[in-house]
Amino acid sequence: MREVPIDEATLIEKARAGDAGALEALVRRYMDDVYALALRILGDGDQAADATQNAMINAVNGLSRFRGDASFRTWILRIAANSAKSLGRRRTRRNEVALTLADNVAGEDADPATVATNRAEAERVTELLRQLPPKQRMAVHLRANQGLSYAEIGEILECSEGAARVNYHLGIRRLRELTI
Amino acid sequence: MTELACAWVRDRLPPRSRDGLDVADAARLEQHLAGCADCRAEATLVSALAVPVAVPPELEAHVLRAVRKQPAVANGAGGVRHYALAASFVFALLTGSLLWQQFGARPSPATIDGAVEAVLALPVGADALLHESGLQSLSEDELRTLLEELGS
Repeated sequence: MREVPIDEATLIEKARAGDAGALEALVRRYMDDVYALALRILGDGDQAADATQNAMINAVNGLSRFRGDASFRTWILRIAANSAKSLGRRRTRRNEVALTLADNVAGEDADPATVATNRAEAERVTELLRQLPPKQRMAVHLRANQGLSYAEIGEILECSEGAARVNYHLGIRRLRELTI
Repeated sequence: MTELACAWVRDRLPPRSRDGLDVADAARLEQHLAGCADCRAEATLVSALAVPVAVPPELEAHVLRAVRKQPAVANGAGGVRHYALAASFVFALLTGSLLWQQFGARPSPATIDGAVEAVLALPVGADALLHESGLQSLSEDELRTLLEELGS
């Protein structure tokens, strides 16, 4: 039987009521976003995996504190950012590895040469992203990759909406200088 | 191209932002990009940044295993409330037993059954007071005997 998608509000309500399946569905839903942000912050696959696990555990245990003022996505990404920053402060870098991109590069339905070019460009930009200061890097990632609004980015980075916008644009400007 | 038009376009370049545009704004954006090389270059950069990160295939199972060990999952997210209820229930019975002794009444077997179940359902260490009191280390029979003695 085909699984019927459950809306997020229902999932959260069920998870808070003790439905382990709903809780795990929420974890699954945000796993990729949390890992991607942690990886951008830490630049290390193993540490990002640890930060993802810490963030998910913190989110699960703190679910009763989620008031719904912000979206669940914003809430869990803020937990992820804090987990990653905290982990980064405690540990030195172990193995900085090239950030791996998913297979579904934009333009996948294009001809193989275009797909290869897109992938190469994506990998190059991803490497350059590491050269940005942390707040600019996170703002650029959250906006360009996760599609969040400046207000949401401000909530995650614990800064104003205006500061989030400035960090994004400074980051993009710097990346453009680096890519020339 | 005016700076104002460029600023409007650049704020809407991330793919998920573009998805939210209505037809007229989407057309306006495309029209601007067709004539503005600078914004096209930024659009290319933003598209490259939007490529999803590959998540290690084993991560989901690893994280779910860790999450399942959390009391909120092992006992339901409302588990903390359940612990509190169970703890209150048991301690009400224990302290109430003093009154019952005074007034000659005793808790019913059903009440004692409920208290035994409540304590046994608690994970070890779920409630510091119960854990420290040693109630959670008792077997079901020992616990039943204790509660019956206290209630008699």
